[in-house]
Amino acid sequence: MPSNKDKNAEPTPETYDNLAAQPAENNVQTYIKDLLTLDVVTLTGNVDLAVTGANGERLRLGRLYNRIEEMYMAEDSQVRVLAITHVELDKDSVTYIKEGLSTQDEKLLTYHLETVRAASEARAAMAAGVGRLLNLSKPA
Amino acid sequence: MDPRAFTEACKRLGSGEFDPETVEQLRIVVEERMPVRYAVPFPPDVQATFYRSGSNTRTRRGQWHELVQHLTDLTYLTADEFQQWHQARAADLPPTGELMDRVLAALGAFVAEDAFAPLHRGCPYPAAGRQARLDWAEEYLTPAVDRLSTFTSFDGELAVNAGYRLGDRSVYGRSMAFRMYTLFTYVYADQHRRDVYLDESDRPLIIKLNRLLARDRSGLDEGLQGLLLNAGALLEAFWRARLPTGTDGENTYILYRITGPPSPDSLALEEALRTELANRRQLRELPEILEYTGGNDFARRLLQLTLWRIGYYDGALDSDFGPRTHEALLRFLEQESEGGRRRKIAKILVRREGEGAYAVKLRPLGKRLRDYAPPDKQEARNLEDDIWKRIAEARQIDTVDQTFAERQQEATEAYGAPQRHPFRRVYFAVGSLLRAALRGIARIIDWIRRAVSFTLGAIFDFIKLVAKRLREGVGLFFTGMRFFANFFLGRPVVTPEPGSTPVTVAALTRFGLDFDTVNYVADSAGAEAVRDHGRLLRRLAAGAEFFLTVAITVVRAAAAWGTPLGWIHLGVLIARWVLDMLRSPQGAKVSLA
Repeated sequence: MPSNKDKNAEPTPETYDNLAAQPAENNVQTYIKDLLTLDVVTLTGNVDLAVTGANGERLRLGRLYNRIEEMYMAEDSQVRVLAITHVELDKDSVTYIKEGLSTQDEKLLTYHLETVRAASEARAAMAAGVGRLLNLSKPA
Repeated sequence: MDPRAFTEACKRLGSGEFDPETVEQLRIVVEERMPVRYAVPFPPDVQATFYRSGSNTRTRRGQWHELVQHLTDLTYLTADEFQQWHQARAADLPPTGELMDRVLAALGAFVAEDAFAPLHRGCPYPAAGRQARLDWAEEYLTPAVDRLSTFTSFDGELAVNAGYRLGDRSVYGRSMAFRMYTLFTYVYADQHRRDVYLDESDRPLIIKLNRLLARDRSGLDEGLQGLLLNAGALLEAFWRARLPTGTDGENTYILYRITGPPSPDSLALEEALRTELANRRQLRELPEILEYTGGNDFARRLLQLTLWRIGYYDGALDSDFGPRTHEALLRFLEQESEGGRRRKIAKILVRREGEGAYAVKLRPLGKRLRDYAPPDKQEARNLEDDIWKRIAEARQIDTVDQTFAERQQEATEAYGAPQRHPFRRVYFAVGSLLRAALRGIARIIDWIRRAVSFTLGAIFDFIKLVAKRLREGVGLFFTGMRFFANFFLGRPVVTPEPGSTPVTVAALTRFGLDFDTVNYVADSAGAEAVRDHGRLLRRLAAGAEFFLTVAITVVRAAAAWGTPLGWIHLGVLIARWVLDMLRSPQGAKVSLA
């Protein structure tokens, strides 16, 4: 079971503490607390997902994800979990990988780990950004 | 849905309301309404930018044209390549792959020569690959063009480089060369032969410039660099240098002679100005600057440069004072004669004996042009606000959006037809335009209310000003919002299967609001699509800090702002917020901490 630890991309715990100290009158606190952990799941499968409609128009991308979610939840699901990584701020990350990886799956595992890194980096930027977004007292 | 929907959504986000309704409102405004209003595609897409005819991507294409002009002026591209680019534009065709490769290589060379932080903090410029470079260029077009524009601006936007020495091979060195060639030998038979950087062989030109400005120096010291960077200060220095010691300088003239018959517009303008023949006293004074001295030649070029900067001249800067420059001068004087100043203005230009011969009195002209000196940052902001205030006071706020959308094209010819004239340029810096636009605000308001036809000068300045602001702000904001949507609003990152019909998903990644992430890879996905998707995710992660800063800066500023005065005013404000971020020391570091 592989694990990694990368503190460079993370804001300090104080950043999150400061953000979580925002007034509880909105969902910011919940959001910031949720940022303390990060889960990345990689699914593979066979879901019919067209980006364009019958007339060539672009479909709303959010619906594509909903369709994957529906298919995953279905009893006869054709969507399988390849790997899951759980990351906690300032702690080791843990990755679950399905057994019996094929050659293709091994390539996808590399891709999965890249996604974990991208999500970690973006989360760090986003957490700090949300703090800035909420600090409306200073002129922009 | 009007611009208030945008500011309302920003206010709600800013107060922590991250609910689906707010997110959807913001999405509709940014992704559906703004692209139509501002003629900038969302998301930035190279094919959509160049392959779709019509006006709905016009603003974005304009930013590419500006990029190509700056790269040409700094000799990353040749005049031939500049012309080829505009020939394609005029034919409503996309640039060829080969030409696009040269433009992208030129952009890469610039990025390699310049350490401007926003161009280096995110994804590095790709070493190869047209598509990868295009993707980078589309994302970083605004900071690249903004930075390049400071190297070709004559508005004093670039700081003097105290460490610069003749022979330095840097983008600053290219900028110095561009300025010297503009002032002395801008039009040359073969641009390939133009020196990219200044070196010792250019020393005679530098000495000449020092002498013309009566400076007791022989080098390109900090003082001279400062004058080269700021044409207003250069004109002032020249004007002062030409004032004979102990006199008031009344008898200093710029002389020129135009060939060919005057245009009907010129005749009408002269009639309106009541241009007079030089009287005896003036005729006695005229020879004090001989017509064929370097001083007169330099003065004519400096006058062209000034008229070009303030929107009255659209020809080449070549010191050839032909009908085009003559008409530009007349238009400028006509604008200045408004408000009861006609008699004073009429004395600035006198006709000499002989067909098409004129003399311009340097001192009063210099005084008039001094009013157009580029403002500093705070003053520029005040001028811009004043323009919008005056439009609002004239009760034209409700019509300006529509008028601009419908009449912007009237200025097409004023951009100099570079497909036929590769040495004509558009002046892009906004400082001088602001001053000129505000001085001619009455005429602009008449144009907005459709009471007058398009003319060069204030109306052209207003069109350029607005178009430039939209280019500067909106494109980068859209890119920022794409990152914001991917990382905050739950929009999946999708890579389609290449060549699939209908287009199907090969890989998809969705970052949740809590950053829990779901990847989906289709069993049928090819290795190429998976690799492309991984590359896309890496690029998103590398640019997240910078582009999220852009989006959040605008959302924050919009939340704190009152109600914008229409769509164009909102676009102008977005440009202000984006450029403030890019140019501030904090923004240059792109620090979110």
